[in-house]
Amino acid sequence: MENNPQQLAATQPVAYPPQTPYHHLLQQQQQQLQTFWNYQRQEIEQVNDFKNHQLPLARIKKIMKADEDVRMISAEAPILFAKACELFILELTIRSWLHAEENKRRTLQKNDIAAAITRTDIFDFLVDIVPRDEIKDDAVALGGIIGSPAAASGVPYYYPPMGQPMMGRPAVSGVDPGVYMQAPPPSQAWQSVWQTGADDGSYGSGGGASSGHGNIDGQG
Amino acid sequence: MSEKEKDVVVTEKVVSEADELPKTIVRRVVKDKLSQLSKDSEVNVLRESLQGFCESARIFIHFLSATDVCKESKRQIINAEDVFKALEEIEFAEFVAPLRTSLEEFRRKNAKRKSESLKAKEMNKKGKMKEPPVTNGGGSEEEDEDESSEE
Repeated sequence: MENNPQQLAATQPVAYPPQTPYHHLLQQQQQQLQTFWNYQRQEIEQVNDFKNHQLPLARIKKIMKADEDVRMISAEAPILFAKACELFILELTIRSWLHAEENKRRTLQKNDIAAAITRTDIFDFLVDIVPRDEIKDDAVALGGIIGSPAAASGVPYYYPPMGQPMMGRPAVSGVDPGVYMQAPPPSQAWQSVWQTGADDGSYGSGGGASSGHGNIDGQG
Repeated sequence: MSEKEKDVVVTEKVVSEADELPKTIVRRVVKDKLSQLSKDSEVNVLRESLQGFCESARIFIHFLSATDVCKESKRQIINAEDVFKALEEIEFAEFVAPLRTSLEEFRRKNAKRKSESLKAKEMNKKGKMKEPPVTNGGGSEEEDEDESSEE
């Protein structure tokens, strides 16, 4: 872990508009992230206990059936839905927490959730839940500098101050190993946990993403 | 007065509690994760924030259910593989691996439970055979559920 700050400093190009306060924040975030990525990995590798956090299957079925197109559901489907829901809540929690941390708060507020939703592409379906005025995000102001996140592949989500909605993929697998983490990136181990078998490349297979972060890229 | 009501409706949809996910469970999921993330200090969750989590999770279920995986394969029943495909379609593919693990675990536990209950029934039957059959008519069979499909 001690390598990283130095390497970060070395690899942080100046071509980018000087972001000194954010650089500091980035280091901090990165350390935090490495810590809880480790926890995440442990959690996943543990045997999943069905008793924990089991959302009520009947309720889930009810919610599913609110959609008219949904007819019959196998016995296993609600269980998968319950687990998926739990994983989803975990994702949302992590990202909301990050935002609260950025703002040095120990309380999760609605604008943290709003920020998490805005910053994550795949959470777009949630965009109506929180009113826009809840989104107090410094990153939004910087959005203009970065430009379209469309090409984002390996851009990690935890650089919101620099490039807000650049997470094409959730944090768990969106990290380009070459970009910021020189030590065996938790993200790589992470990838192997999340994606058993071949990486299908749907996460914009590794480097080379010349998005707004092109200048940071190329650590290969 | 009616204008005020309109204003309220615009920003927040009101869903009856019975249609939402139970707050206590969602709260537990969130708080457990937060205590992991922030080991030194406790992170609090405002009530309205919790509402945000519940609501998001509910919409997630809708969103996941809405994928038309079944229609493509012309099946009526949504099974496990459909759920995995649906997750990939909505770009939550990274959930698939842990879910498969959970599913295997569930199936294993289920199989174990079934075999255990089967043994118990057989023991029961043996016991009953010693006595003159008073209550029969497949009394022990009604518990056998068909676990493969369910409406």
